[in-house]
Amino acid sequence: MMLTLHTTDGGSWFKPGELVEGRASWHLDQEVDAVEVRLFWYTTGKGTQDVGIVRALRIDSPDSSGHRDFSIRVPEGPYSFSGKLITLAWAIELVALPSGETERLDLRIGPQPVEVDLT
Amino acid sequence: MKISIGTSSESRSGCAGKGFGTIFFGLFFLMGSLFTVFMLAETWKQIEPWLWPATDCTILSSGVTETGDDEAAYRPLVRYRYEFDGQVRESDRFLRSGGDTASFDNARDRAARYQPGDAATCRVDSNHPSLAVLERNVPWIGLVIFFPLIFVAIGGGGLWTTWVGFSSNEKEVESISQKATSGRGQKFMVGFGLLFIAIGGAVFIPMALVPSIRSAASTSWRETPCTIVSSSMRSWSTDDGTSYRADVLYEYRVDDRSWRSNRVEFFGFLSTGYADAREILDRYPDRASATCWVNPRVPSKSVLERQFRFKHLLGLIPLVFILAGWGVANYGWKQMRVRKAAEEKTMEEASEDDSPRFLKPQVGPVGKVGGSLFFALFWNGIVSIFVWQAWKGWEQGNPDWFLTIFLVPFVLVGLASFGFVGHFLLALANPRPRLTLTPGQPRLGGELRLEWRFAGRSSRLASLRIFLEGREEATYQRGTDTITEREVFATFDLANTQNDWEIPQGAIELTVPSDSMHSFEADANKIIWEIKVEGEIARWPDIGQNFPITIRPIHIENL
Repeated sequence: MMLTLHTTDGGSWFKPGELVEGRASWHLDQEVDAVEVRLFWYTTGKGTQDVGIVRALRIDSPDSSGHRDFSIRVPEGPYSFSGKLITLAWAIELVALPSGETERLDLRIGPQPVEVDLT
Repeated sequence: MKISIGTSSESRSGCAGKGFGTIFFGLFFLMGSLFTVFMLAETWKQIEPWLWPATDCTILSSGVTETGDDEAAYRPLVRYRYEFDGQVRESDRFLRSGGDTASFDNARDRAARYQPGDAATCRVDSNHPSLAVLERNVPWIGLVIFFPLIFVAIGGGGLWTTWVGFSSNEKEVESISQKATSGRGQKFMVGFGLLFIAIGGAVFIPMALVPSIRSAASTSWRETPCTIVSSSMRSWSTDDGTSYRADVLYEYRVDDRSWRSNRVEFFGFLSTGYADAREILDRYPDRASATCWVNPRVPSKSVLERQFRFKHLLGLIPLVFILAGWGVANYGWKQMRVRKAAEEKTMEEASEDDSPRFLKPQVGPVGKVGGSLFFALFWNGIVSIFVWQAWKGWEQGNPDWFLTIFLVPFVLVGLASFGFVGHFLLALANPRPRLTLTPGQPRLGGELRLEWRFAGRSSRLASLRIFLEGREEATYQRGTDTITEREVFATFDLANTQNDWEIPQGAIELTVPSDSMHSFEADANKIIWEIKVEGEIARWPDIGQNFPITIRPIHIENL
């Protein structure tokens, strides 16, 4: 199974309110129920991990080979940030269901191209 | 991008973990399943009579008999005749379970519903017509099935996690977004908390509430002379050893009729120790004269002792379960609301409302008194039971040194808790800060204006500091403990003065840095912004209040 994911211009920094546009492609060697493109944030660090899916585009019973262009507007927050206890990061994933095989593209969301530094 | 997880050493430890998990959770699952089957069989036995055909019967005799079983020494003995399939039969089975009880009153009252010669309805098992019952149990026992089901759930869940969880780790890739929960954990907490409340309530009601109500009602009962008919020690084996009960059967007369009862006190649940039972028997020896208290409206109801005893406070112990259950359910409920609010915040843009906002403290002075008083009463209520036990030992010249020394730190914490109550009570007289923030929810990079004034005698304040603080809060589990760590990342002084003309009221403006982080709240990780007010008062508890605020992200149009 091969999953690929990329943004239209190859960029990974998006300001709140901007559109994340790109293409999700798959070549499946076995039948899956669906593939999903998810824009989400997640935390790492000392605390138990929190994950919040902002938008999910589901393609039910996909062909063994195909692609889907996506365009998702980034919400006002939360910003990507890094502190002494918590780091919050953004990503887009293409997930095959129910097996959970995944392709991930890391993003930075915020007013500046670098994450907010709280250290 | 493909992510590989798992090394050969991890695989070996994974196998060991799998084996241990399978045995541990398998035992849980097996024992839970066995108990579930047992409970189902018992429940079915009580449901069956509800399906049996109703049959006319005639009461032949009615009374109370001793069972020979110390745990449930009395049984209503009602003999009745019935006809089924053209054959006349007799039975004295009252309930499917027999109807044995420790209470003479209970057995007597049940039997009294059937007098010789009365026509009644019994239920006959059509497959075994010799099996009949006069009354049917409501199958409450079916509710207890939740207990073994908890074990089944823990065992089954553990086995599923052990096998499915381990196999998922061996996958070539790992999805982070798959970990986004649907709030099932919070729902489980609410359900678990409610279950604790139900269990606590089911124990508290018969153990403390009903006896307390009966005890209160008995203040109007009549003092009546009575004679002890028999006085014997009942004992039976339990999981924790042997339980004892003083069985004192006494007789009294009301309106030329004799009544018998074995109710010594309303809180009989709490007297299962040998010493307690022995004391009662010593007070009421065989054939002795005594005084009992009789309900003037229902002369069959009586009690030997109706006064309150310190040990009755033990009946409050189930409140711990109720409070713990309430705490867990309430926390789960709040977390569900936090999750919903956080999801809505993420999906929608932040509020456009720029109007001023009167800030509320996180915990007000009255809340601090209430919280500390609740803790002090709760803590000292529990500890006092054991202190009383220790004191009793000292009083009887048989001190329990281990218990006494063990209790010292608990007593000190109890005393300190009352110290805190006193501290917060004094702080009630402090001047109270009133803060107004404009806009009510400032944005990063935007202006904020804070106005303050004090209700009360602000002249008592020797100094005042007001500052804005941003901090990270991360919560995680370590073993069975839930730990929250905090780290301050930003502090902005808004006011810091010892000038008595500046303290009573004032206003300050501040630009929130645009390169900082806005408020953020998830289940375990938070960015919290607070305005803190600290004031010093000579020879009196100081002021220290926190006012949480929301800092919004930069407006999209300004990016």
